[in-house]
Amino acid sequence: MTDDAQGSPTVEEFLPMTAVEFEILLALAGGPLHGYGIMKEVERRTGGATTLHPGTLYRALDRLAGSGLLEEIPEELVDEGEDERRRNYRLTALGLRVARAEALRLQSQVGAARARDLLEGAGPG
Amino acid sequence: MRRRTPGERLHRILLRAYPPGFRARHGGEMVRDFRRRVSEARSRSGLPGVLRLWAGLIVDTARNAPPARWAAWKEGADGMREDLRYALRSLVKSPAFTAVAVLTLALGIGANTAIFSVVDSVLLRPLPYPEPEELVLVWGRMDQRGVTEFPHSPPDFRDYQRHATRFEGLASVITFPQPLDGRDGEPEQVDVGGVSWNFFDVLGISPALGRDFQPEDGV
Repeated sequence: MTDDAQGSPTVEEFLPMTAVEFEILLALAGGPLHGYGIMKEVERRTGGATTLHPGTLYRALDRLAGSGLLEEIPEELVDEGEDERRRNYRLTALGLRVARAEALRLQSQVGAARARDLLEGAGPG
Repeated sequence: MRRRTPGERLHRILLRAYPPGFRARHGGEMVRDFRRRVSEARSRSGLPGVLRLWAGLIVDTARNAPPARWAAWKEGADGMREDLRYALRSLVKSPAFTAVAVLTLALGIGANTAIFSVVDSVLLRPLPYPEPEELVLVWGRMDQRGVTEFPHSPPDFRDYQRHATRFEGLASVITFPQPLDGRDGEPEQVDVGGVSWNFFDVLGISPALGRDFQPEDGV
C-alpha cells in the first residue's frame, strides 16, 4: 500500500460508510483485486448474501478512487486462463485508516447491541 | 477475436445507458465479468439462475445509470464554469486587450447587423404586395449609349398600356427629391413619387386613408 498525499482529508469525513463501500474496502484489505475479484470475495465472505452488481461496483470504485481511499494499479495480465487485461485496485494508506475506523464504529454498535441482549451468545464486550 | 453472443450484445445495449466516459473506463470489464457470472450461474442453477442474474443486471442498470449520467453532466458543467471563471479573470487582468477585443467585436457585429438588415429588407424579404412574384419593372434601353435602365416617356407608356397583352396592368412611377415647405421651420427634402392613376391597383393595394386614384385624376 502506498502513502497518501500530504494534507489528506480526515478519516471522520468518510464515516459512516455505505455498506457497499465498506464491503469493497474489506475485500481489498486482503490485497489488490480487480473488479471481478472484489465481487467474488464479497460473495464468498457473505456466503452469497451480498451480490455486487457491476454498475453498483464500478461506480463505487470510481467514488472511492476519487476520494483517495483506493487507487488503480497499472493494468497487468492478472487473469490466468484469459488473455484479458484487468484493472487492479488497492487500498491507500487513507483507505486502510478509514476501513479500520469504520470497522471500529461497527464493532462499537455490535457491542451496544450485545449489551442490550439483542444478540445471542456472549455478554457485553 | 471471439464472436459476441446475443447476451453480450444485449448487455452492450444496456451499457449505453451509462455515460460515455464510464463505458470507456469500465465497459469492457463489466461485459467480461457478467459473461463469467452467467456461465457460473448456468452451471450452478441452470436457466432460473441466469434469469435471476439478468433481472439483477437490469435493476442495477436502472439504479446506477441515471445518477452516473447526472454526475458526468455535473462534472462537465463544473468544468465549463471553471473555464468561464478563468477566462473572465484573464480579461479583467488585461483591460487594454479586453477593450480592444470588445471594440472589435462591437464593430464587427454592428457592421454585420447593418449589412444583413439591408440584405434582408432588399433581397430576402418579399415585397409587401399580393403575388409579388407577378410584379416586374419594365425599363427602356439606349443601346447607343450603353444604358440598360432608361425611363419611358409618357407617350411610350400610353402606347404600352394600349397594346401590351401579356400584362394584367401597367402603371408608371417616377421618383425624385422635392423640397417640402412646412408652416414653420426649415424646408425639408423628401422623396416624391409621380405615378399613373392605376398605380395602387396594379400593386394590388389600397390607400390607408382616403380614396384611390381615378382615371380622371390622370393627366
